[in-house]
Amino acid sequence: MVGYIARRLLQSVPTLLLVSILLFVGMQLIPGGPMQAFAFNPRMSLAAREAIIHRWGLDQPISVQYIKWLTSMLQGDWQYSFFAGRPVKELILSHLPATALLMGTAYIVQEALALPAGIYQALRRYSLFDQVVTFFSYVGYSMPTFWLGLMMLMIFAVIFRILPVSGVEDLNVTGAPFLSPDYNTWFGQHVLQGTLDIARHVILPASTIAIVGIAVDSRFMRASMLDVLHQDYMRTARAKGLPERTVVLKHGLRNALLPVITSIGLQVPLLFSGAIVTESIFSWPGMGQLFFGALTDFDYTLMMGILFVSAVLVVLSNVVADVTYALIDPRISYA
Amino acid sequence: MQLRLRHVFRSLAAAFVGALVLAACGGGGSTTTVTKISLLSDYKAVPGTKGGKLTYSDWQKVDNLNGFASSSAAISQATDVLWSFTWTFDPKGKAVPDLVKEIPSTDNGDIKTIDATHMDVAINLKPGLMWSDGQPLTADDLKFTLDTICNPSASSGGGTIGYDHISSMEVKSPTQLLLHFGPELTMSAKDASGAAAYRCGLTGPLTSGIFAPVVGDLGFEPMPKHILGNVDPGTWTTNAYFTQKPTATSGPYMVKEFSPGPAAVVVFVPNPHYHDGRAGGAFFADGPYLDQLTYKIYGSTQAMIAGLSAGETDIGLNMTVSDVPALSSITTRTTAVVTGLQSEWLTFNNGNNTKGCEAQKFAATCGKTTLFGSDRQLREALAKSLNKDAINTIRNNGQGGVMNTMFFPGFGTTWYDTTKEVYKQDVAAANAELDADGWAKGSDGIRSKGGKRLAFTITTTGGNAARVAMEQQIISDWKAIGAEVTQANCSTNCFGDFPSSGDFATGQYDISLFANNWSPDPDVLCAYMQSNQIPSATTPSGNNWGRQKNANYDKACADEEGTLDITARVAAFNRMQTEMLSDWSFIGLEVRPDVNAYASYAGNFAINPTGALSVWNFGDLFRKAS
Repeated sequence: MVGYIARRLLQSVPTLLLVSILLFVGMQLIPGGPMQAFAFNPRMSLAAREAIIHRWGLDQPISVQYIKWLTSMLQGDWQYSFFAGRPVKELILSHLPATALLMGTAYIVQEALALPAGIYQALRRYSLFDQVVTFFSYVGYSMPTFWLGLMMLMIFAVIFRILPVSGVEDLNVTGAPFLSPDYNTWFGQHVLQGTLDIARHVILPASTIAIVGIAVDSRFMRASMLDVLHQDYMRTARAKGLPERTVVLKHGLRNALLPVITSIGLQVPLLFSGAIVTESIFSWPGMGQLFFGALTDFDYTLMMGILFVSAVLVVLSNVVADVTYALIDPRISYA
Repeated sequence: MQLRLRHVFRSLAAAFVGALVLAACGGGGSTTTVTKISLLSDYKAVPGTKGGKLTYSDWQKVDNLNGFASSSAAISQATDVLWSFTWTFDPKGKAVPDLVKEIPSTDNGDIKTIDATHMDVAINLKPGLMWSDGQPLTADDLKFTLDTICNPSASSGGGTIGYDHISSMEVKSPTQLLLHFGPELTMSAKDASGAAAYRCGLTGPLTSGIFAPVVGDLGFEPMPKHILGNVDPGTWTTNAYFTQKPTATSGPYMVKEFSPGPAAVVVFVPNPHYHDGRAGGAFFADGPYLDQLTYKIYGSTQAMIAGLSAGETDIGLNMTVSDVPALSSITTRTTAVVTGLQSEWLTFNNGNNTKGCEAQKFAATCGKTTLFGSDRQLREALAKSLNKDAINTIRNNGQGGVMNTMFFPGFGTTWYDTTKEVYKQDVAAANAELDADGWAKGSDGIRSKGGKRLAFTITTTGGNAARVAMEQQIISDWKAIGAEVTQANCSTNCFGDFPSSGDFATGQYDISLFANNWSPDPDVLCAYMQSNQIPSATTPSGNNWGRQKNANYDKACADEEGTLDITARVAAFNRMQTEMLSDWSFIGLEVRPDVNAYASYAGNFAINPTGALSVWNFGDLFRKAS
């Protein structure tokens, strides 16, 4: 198993290298560029513009720019964001906790509800429960996130005012932005109040993400479980006199989970990259908004940092998914 | 357009330079009545009460606190609270002294004309000013900042126009910086140490050191020499002073915490030294009042409006008329709609449409001659046929204004001659003019002249639904007089420099449609009409995208720029206005309002449609007792 993991990780190096080249070149092929931020500034002198171009290395051939970026990445220096002026690594690390909190919450809620619902639907096919969940799954699946988010915002935050509109915390209470030194000090002194405050803020954005996710994953789990329930080995297990609970959970669920694990595994990188639309609606200071801002400004260094980490996570989560297969299904061996 | 060029319209101008008394108000010097016009602000803050918190908000991201390099309004709304200006501008565009004792003028002796090409300007600071860290704020800081503005590697977002006329500076005392304006310094000049000198990005020698809009262009935020003096200006953009927490500021508040990005939060606390040197003054003498001021960025205008509605934020900035219906449903916030100096207009390409001329580096001789360059009557007919009220309705729900040419009433009656022709749609006159000009209607209703169809394109920024709707109205109006017009909008960047990008700078269009925020001083218009501003290899940043070569524009601009005599400047601007109504190379369309919303308990809040932005008097902002 260790050898297999090492092999997979080694194989991922050229993949990531290729991905990074494609990302770097593709990013620069997008019409526009970071200098368009100054395009409508007639007062800025040509010399000042050239100084910016030089500072950002845009006067270098693209191959040189890429090699410089790759070299500095390998050395742990992810360069500076063009527009924020802060190290890319620092920006990512400062936005990551909020996204991990949001996506992690949404993810846990989503899977905690979707998987049991999907299993139960399969076991009680065409029951009222199955039909009700199916109906709401289609509703959830067909609702655009931006619309759903705005509706939840309007209903729960603006009309009934039972939940907050934006952010991770109540600035009027904490007096400082999330995870800033002053905030951390405040949180240390008000752990319960701080936790409840965060919990209130995470409900709406996490629900927005989870509702769509539940719709998708419950359908997926239901289909996978239905597929397994009619397999020969299920009949054999029942014929052996095993209790139904054991048949379903040990023989059925373990097999049904295999395709679901692939789906879930591919969603893991979202924990990093965030949900652009939801973060935007709820002004959530996370990775999704950070990336969207970088994209609109053509902040190449920041975009590359985020995209490359996402690519690494995609590769790693696939490896983890493959390893999980072996743990769940004894028929699969990577020895 | 996500950026707002606050600095562009920060010039108030020579009104102060010439005199604070203007003879002959509004008539181009032709009336006999002598009217005193004070261009100094009459702003009086309401005395506030100490304590409390307020939150103001925007929806554009705040990546850093670098007001020195940025031209983003959202960033300036944070940085203008942190650093005071030498002087700022009130909502009427009138100057308000902030760090200085008085606005420099010839009347108070701070501006002296030496001869036809030289002048001196004295900037006199209030004595006793301090940075927030307790260090004195002196003329050394002023000189240090101006030196850095002129250093290309610092990439000042406010640009260098105006500063390029300064030939030397003298720190006369801790409170006085004397600026010598003159044409001596050339590109080959050396400084005292023998090193190559520069003149703020100017590419050629000056013929005059007189710079009429001096007051507007020298209203800047001094930076602390004791903090940044040893920092390479080329690294300011990544310095923690600008990216995290400025340790010494001069504005009413200082940063307690800053979290950057599209959901940025800046928490301000009072500057303990703001009072030093200001006590007893006519402006900003009593603040700051609040215990805490918070600037919160939302992910969208809808989210910001929800925040206002839910009481999460007290003041919302930087909205448009399309937000007014949603804002009007919020009973706890007042919506303010104020027309300022933001306008939108059409520019005829009087040169060649250079589409396809990339290989020739968009040479002026390449491409296809447009129909307009040699046909003044055609331009006038197109101007007269437009239904601008409909355009104003499309763009501003009818809450903005309409304008006849690029020179519009927003510039104020000091400069704008209200007796000149105002907008009136006249389709019959437009048709008659085209008939007289030889444009005959064909069987399909489209006119032709000399074998050429009256067919052309209109270009604006792609992906902007309001602009597309405006274009459709314009196309419809022009179709009614026999013109066949198609949309050819920029796929990406309309506004880049010559020749690497920018459809307008490279001349790849027939008629362009775009907007701008203007300076209260109409001198800013000259950048769009002077023949030496036609983009080329030598003037890549020139804004004369219409390729105007009009001797009357050139003369009017040269005259108003070369004198401190306000009467002469008014006369020059009136000639410019007259020429626009005859030449019709620009068609004014609509004037766009600024929209803010605020709580009634936000004392002294005053929406400011000028480049000073609505945070201009946050030193006086206070929370009224409920």
